[in-house]
Parts: sequence; structure tokens; C-alpha cells
Amino acid sequence: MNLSETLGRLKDYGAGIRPLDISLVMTFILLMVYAENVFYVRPATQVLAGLGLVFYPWIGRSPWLWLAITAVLAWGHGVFWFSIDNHKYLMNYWTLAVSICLFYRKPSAFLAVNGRLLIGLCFLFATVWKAVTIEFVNGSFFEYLLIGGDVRFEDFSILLTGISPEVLEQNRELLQSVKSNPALTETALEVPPRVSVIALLLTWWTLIVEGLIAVLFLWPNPGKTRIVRDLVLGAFIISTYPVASVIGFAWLLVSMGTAQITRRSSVMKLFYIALFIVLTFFSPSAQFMFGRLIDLITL
Amino acid sequence: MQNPSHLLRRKYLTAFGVPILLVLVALSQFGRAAMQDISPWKGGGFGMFSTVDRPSGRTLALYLEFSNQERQFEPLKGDDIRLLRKEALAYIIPTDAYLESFLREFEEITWYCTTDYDEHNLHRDRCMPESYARQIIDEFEPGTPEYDLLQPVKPKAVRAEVWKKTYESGISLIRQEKITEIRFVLDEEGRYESE
Repeated sequence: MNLSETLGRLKDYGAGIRPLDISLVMTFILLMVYAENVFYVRPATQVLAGLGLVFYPWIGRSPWLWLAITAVLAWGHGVFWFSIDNHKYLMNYWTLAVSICLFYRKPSAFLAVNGRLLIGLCFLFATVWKAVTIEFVNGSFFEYLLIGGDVRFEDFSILLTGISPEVLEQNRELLQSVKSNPALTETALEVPPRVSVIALLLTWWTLIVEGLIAVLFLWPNPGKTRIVRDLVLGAFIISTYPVASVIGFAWLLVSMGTAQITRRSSVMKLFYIALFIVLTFFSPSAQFMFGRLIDLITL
Repeated sequence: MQNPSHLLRRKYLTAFGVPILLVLVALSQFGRAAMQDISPWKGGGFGMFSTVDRPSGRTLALYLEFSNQERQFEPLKGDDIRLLRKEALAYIIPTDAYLESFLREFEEITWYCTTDYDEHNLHRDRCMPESYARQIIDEFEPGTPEYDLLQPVKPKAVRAEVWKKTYESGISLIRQEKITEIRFVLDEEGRYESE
């Protein structure tokens, strides 16, 4: 059997797997790893998702299992609805959508619409919030992140702006002193010259790409250009979440993105599976190793 | 056989019900952010990474007021999820109702303050509710310097303030703005009186 035959067989095999099944398996993995870390949510979610994964598709495609997962998440998230991250809301919407769709004999089309709209709406609101916030549009927000406002961006900032770890440390201490002393109403931070330009570039990249994802995913009939939305989403995920270190959110977007591709598109199935696997390398433990590597380079 | 229009309605609900729920929650969060100063980072509106005003950057400053001075206090939180929840609500959604609900946790209690600076694992000028102070006092014998550092006090009022950060590029200035404050005058038993 030559290479083209092997590839052909793989393609046929891939075409037989439904995007819905890939998406549900990804979601089970996501739920097992990134369920809310409180005692009344994580163990129950992990048991339910584990059952679904091990006994897929017999139990894993049961709408009742998904309803149970939705109920546990809703209970856990409901107690701290005001302080949980937005992707925890999205996770709950997604499990609810899966539950409802699985009550149909042919759930794929419904789940595809839900996946597409949830991604589109999430990015629409994210774009609107950023566009109406002056602090974001004028570059202040990214400048703040790059000079020590968020520890997750520090390695990225050192690489991109050349800011020194000492300046970051100094700014972090100033920010801490402001927080612990409300009487200190303002203080100046040190900002190397390149930071402002890079902050503005990041601002506009984020606005454009998030707005584009919203439009592409909310557009109902993209025709032959539908591949573009998957590629743009993939570009956004790869350029954003490894830095922001919110792998749970990224996995959720990949799971929903997978649900909305066509069954025949083996390439896109592989694309989303590859994205899901690549993101694993940007988990916090991998980030730790990356940080040590930067330390070695900058020594 | 089911009515076709009923089937169609059910199909539309399946396809669009959850996305509509997302829109309703996100719109309500927009309203809350405008009217109640909820941080855009939270509440299901997808406003994360749009402003430096994230909840962890907010300050909930709590004060005891005396006749001639005021001192900050820290409540004992530990693993008390109920109190942690009330505290988080107070600074993430700083309405009068949530701030009052949190401050009411400290009504009719005895307050203790340190009278000297920390040489014995007690922070300088620290005030705390009795439950917190008890844990420290119980570790020491009466008459020891550690024991004497904490003394019961009678404040005139308690006050809570919520502050948020803003950042201005160009002048590289981080600012703190007071979002709101709430204050209660205390009677002899430590009950709150309306002003």
C-alpha cells in the first residue's frame, strides 16, 4: 500500500467520524481538567465527565448525563456568579446546549448552530466592551499589562518590548503599594519607550481579530469561505491563550469550533484536534518551563 | 402527530435558546456595569481584558473611626465561604446593599487594636474583630507583652470604601478612584445607628 492509498484510507476513516463526537470528547477532557476548583463542583464534574469519556458513546451521548453536568456546573457557578470568569459561563451554556441538542435523533446540525453562535456572540460582546472602553482603545490597557500589571504577560513583555525584569519588579511593587494604601491616589510607573508602540499594535490586533471572528461566526451562510473563520479563530487562539494562559477557555473554543465544521471536512477536524493538542503545551506547568528558559537566555 | 408549528417552535428554541440566554445575561451585565459599577471582567458579559479595573485590583478598605483618628481593620476570613462571598460581592458589585450586608457581619462585636508596633507577629496599628483577636490572645498568657498589645476599643463608627484603578498611557500614571463608601455610627453596644 503506497502513501497516497494510506492517506486516502485515513481520509475516509476521518470522514466517518462526526465533528459532534470529537467535540463532545474534547469537552469531556476540558471538564475533567478545568472544572471549577471547589469541593462541591470539581469531583462531581470529573466523575460525570469521566463516565462519559470512558463509556463513549453509550453514556457519553446521553442528554441526561449532560443535563447532570450542566446542573452541577450551574450550582457551582451560581454561588459565585459574580466572581467566576466569563468562560465558566460559556462552559455552562455549552453543556446546556449539548444536553438540549442530544434529545434529537440527529443532533449535529443543532449543535453546529449553537457552537457557531456561542463563539460569535462571545466575541461580539468582547469586541463591544473593548471598543467602548477608552482605556482599551488608547492603548493604556495593554501598556499596563506589559509593564507589570499582569504577571502572566511578563515573559512575553520581556521578549517583545525588552523591558528589564528589574523594571517589572519595581512597577509591581509600586502597584502593590497603591493597592494596600488607598490614600495614595496616584503614582507614576516606569515605561520603556517601545512599550507604548507595542501596546497600540496589540490593541488594534485584538480589536480587529476579535471583531472579525464575531462577524465570521455570526454570518449564517459563508459558503466556500467558511474555512476562513476556522483559520482566524485558530490564529487568535494560538496568538492569545498561550500568553494569557487561559487554556480552559481556549479548549472550550476549540470544542465549540469543532462542533460547527462539516462532517466531510477531514482537514478541519485534524486542524481542531491539532489545536487542542498544541494548547496542552501551554498549560501552566509548561509555562513554568518556558519561564525558566527565558531566565536562562536573559542571564 | 405533533403540530408542525409546534415542532418548528421547538426546533428554533433548540437552535437559538442557549445563544439567546447568553445575550440576555451579557446585556444585563452591561446594565449592571453602567449602574452598579460591577467590574467588566465579571458577570458573564465578556468584558475581560478590556480595562485595568479587574476585581483583584480593587481595594475594599475598612476603617474604624475614633474621636481623633481612624484605623484600618481586616476581618478574619479564613475558610468562611459565606463571609468570603459577602466580601467579594462588596467590592465586585459595590452597591449600598452589598456593602451594608458585609459590614453588618461586624455589628455588636468587641473590637481590638494593637497598641504598639509589631515585634511579636502582630502588625503595626492593626485592628480586628474579637473573634480574630481571640485567636491571638489565647496563644499568650495575661501580662505578657504580646497579650497586652491587643486592647479592646470602642470605635465611634465603621466605614467601608471601595477603590478601583485606572491607568493612563502617555503619562504612565496609575490612579485610584473611590467608587463608593458606606458608614455606620456605633452606639454603646456596637449596634449600627442610621445617620
